[in-house]
Amino acid sequence: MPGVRPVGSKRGHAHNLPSPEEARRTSWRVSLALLVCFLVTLPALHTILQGFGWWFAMAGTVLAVLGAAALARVLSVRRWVPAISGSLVLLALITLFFSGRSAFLFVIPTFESFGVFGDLGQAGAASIAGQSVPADVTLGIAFLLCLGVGVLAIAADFLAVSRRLPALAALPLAVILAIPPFIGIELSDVFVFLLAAIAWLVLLRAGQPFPQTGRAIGLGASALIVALLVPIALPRVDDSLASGDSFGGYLAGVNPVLSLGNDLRRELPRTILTYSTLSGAPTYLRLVSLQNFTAETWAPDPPEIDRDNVPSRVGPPPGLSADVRVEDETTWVDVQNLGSPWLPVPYPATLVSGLSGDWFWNAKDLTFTSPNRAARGEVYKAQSLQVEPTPAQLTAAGRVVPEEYSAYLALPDGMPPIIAAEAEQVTAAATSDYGKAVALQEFFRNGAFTYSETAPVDEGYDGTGMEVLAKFLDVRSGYCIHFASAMAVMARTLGIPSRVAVGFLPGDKQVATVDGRTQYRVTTLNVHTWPELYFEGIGWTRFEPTPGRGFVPTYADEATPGVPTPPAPSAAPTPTPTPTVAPPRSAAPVDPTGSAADAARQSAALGWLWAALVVFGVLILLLIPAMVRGVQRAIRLRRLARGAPLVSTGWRELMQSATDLAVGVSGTATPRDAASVIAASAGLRADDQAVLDRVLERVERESFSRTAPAGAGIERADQVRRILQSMRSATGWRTRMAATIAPRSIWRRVTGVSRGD
Amino acid sequence: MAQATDSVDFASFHALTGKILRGVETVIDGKREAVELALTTVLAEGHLLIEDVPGVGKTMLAKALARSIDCTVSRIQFTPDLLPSDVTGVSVFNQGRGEFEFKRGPVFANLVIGDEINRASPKTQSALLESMEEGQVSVDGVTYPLARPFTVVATQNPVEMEGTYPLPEAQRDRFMVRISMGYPDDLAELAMLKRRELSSPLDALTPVVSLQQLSDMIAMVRGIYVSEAVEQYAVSIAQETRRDRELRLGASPRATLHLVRAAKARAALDGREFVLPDDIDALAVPVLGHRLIASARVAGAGSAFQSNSLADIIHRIVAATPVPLGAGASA
Repeated sequence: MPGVRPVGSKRGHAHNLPSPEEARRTSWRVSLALLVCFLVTLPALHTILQGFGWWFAMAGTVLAVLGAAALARVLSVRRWVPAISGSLVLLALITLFFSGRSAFLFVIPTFESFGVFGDLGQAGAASIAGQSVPADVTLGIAFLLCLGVGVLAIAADFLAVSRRLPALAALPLAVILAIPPFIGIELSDVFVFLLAAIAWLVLLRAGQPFPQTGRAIGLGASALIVALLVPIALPRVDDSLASGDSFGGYLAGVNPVLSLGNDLRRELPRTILTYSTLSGAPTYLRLVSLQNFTAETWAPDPPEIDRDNVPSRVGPPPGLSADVRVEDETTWVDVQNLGSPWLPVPYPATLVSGLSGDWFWNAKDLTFTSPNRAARGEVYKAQSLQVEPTPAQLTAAGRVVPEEYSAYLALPDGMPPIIAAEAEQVTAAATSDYGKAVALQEFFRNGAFTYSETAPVDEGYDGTGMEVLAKFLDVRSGYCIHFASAMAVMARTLGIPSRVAVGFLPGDKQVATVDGRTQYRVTTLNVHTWPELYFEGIGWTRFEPTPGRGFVPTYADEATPGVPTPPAPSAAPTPTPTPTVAPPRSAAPVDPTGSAADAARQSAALGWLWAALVVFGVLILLLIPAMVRGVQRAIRLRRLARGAPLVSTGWRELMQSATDLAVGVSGTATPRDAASVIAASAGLRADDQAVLDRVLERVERESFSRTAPAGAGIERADQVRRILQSMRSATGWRTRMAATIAPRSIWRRVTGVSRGD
Repeated sequence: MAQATDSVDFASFHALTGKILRGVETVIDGKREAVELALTTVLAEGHLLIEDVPGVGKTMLAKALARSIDCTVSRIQFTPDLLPSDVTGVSVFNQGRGEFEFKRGPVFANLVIGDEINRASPKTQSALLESMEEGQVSVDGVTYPLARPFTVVATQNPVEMEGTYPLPEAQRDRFMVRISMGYPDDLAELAMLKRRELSSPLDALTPVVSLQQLSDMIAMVRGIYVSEAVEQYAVSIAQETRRDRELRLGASPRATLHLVRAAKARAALDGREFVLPDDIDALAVPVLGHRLIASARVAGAGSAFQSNSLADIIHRIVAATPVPLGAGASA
């Protein structure tokens, strides 16, 4: 192996070099132990994934990859061959399973296959972003799982078998174990953790040519303790993402629906923004609207930025005709803590001024997005309209749905029948779409529904997918997101275009005033969603189905004269009339993959943040040995410079660095032998050789002569530094890198294994 | 020639040993290591066993060494019919004086060359070996001390040669160092041919060291410093040989003593006033090799094979024994 160098006279007879036969048997043993490690570690994901089919898929992938690497090891002694072979098998495997049709001979990927992979990856990311735990394993998620575990298996095989550092195989395994606590510490399964730890100990033992059980158990126990402590010590991801101090604030990223429940359940409300209005009346502030309803979730459109849509000239509210009464309103907003790429504004805004970043509005829903910054820190003035249609106008709007609004009627296939049936029954008595909308709102507000932020989580139906809604209609308990999405979906089944708005309730009135205007404070408790229904001639109108939250707009309030009073839900059942117009299924068929891909694009920002965090954590872990060695070196050289014996400082450092740099210095070599090995492997120049000779002479005198010679410590420290420098520069960059990141001396001490490698 | 002095300093020690080595090397071509080991043994007051096939210069080495030193030299050719009294001496009746008088045998010399020692009967062998160990000869109840310094350089053929009595372990243990000459390489052999064409180079050899100087040098070697770390190292190696599963007989305490004494001489020859573990390493095979007995599993039919594998075992033990690095005798 490249790491072995010609060694001094003593090394030729070292007896602890495993024979090739023994090494081969050890490598099979380690491969097998590694497989077991993966098999018992994978169940850690059971808290976040539904079913168990994924385990077989992932286990099969690991088996194939490790098997390919082990076979390659039989055929070649080169260290990279098993990793390459494992990668090829992984590629062939995912090609076969995920894009067999577009592949050549089923396993050789074509350009098209890579396109399929890209789509699957995006779809998988979107599913992950769009689902709550435990998540359904969609094809995209399965793809990501197999690819991910395959890559981890290759890494683990390379570390544990090729590099013969079985202890390091804990890193890839820890990645798997870290996923559930990453999402929530309560999701980690201690039993699986223990099993994985035991399997890892077995791996450690399997990897030792001369097993030392006691040491391995001691090591394993300490590793276990560290592993249990680290997740506790590390900041939780959602905390750090949501705390706003470092990562941007609340409702950051992806699909704002997802973190909403967590924000609502937060015990200590945190201020997001403050605002005041010209009229002094409180107002809803809207961030974004969700148009796309898939089987799994409501999702916003991908952000489209039209740079002509500057906030100083906001386009007309869609669908609003001139004969509807409007009033002007001005709102001053001070955003303190909000990581969202959307700006909280009242709907419909006509002009926003005072913004410091680049913000552009979207013509479809008048939301404001920035391509490059979050809303945090913006202080601005928003002018908006208060649309006050009369019930008569709303009733008159009829049920004309313009062509461009047909997308707001799209429903996924396979909707649970309860949703449409319930909608029909609730609105049976209503005569107009407006009446039906009011009936739906009343059904939720005054019916048998209760508001609960925890029930959906406890009962396992948190989220916005259609299965969740069906469950919600059955259990009749939930929070704003359930009410808003249920009403929006039911409106769609009735043929009324709808969408879900995400934003904030008006918040709490403050005692203090600003410029004589009443201040309102919006906190994490005021995060809210509500449905918006479209009526031709009036535009998007807000409804408030969540019981006990916010306020119902005048035009939807039963107290307002002219607003149709829906019959009580318990009224004698009237024969359900067949709808006169069948609710149009999506005019433009909604491609779940397509909209998921959109969501994936939005999730990119958060995804990168997560990835960066993980990479950062791994980097820190990887740097620990390097830091230990660096500190050790500094301390020794300083002690040497201050006159400590060379033997216990500089010489020890030289020996340890030689070990790190894979210079084959035996632990039992005499100083003279060690020096000649170093000189031979580093190819020292004549002047450096002279320096090494002086260092050696001093070491010998210190250790073996009657009196140690006097001399300046600082000079000796410089000599040691110079030899270290020459040794490093004489080795290849890979060896240097390995010496820095994974110093053999440390691992050897940790694992107690001394190898000829 | 330098006059006798009370002590020898390093420079003159080095000069004298250099002269001896150069002189001997004019006779023995290309065997620097063997010559150095021989000189090491003489300086450490040990006895030297040269073992090899006939005709490689065993006796020549012994003679050359003897010639270089201005001391009494005797040579005993061991044969199967040699008697103990032929070695030690014999009491004969002096009729003129009417009493027994002791006729000193060849063992009464500073340097005794015992040629082909394994051809003599065990009885005769032990007569020599006893005097080697005790430094004296007892005949008819009278003890006669031998000369000081006293070194026996014995040669022997490998035991599988015909008509030999292999030395028993107990007697091999008395030799400090066993060396094997080995065949010269082609260049050295060619040089030897050229040199021997006209005359024997042995004749041209003159003593370069007086007896007094040799004694002083031996005294100086005795004063070489051995740190505790090195002593510990030597002891560890000896202990390991006793524990090793591949060895039936390990190193005796006398072996450890010889190892350290030889290491002192090697350090002095190297110009050092202290012993390094490297000295121990270098001398482990020559000092221990002839004393150890491999277990049946390792021991082969022939001694050549056996000594090879013994050397391997010693190398392995030495390689596996950690070198203690003390923080020095004085910080």
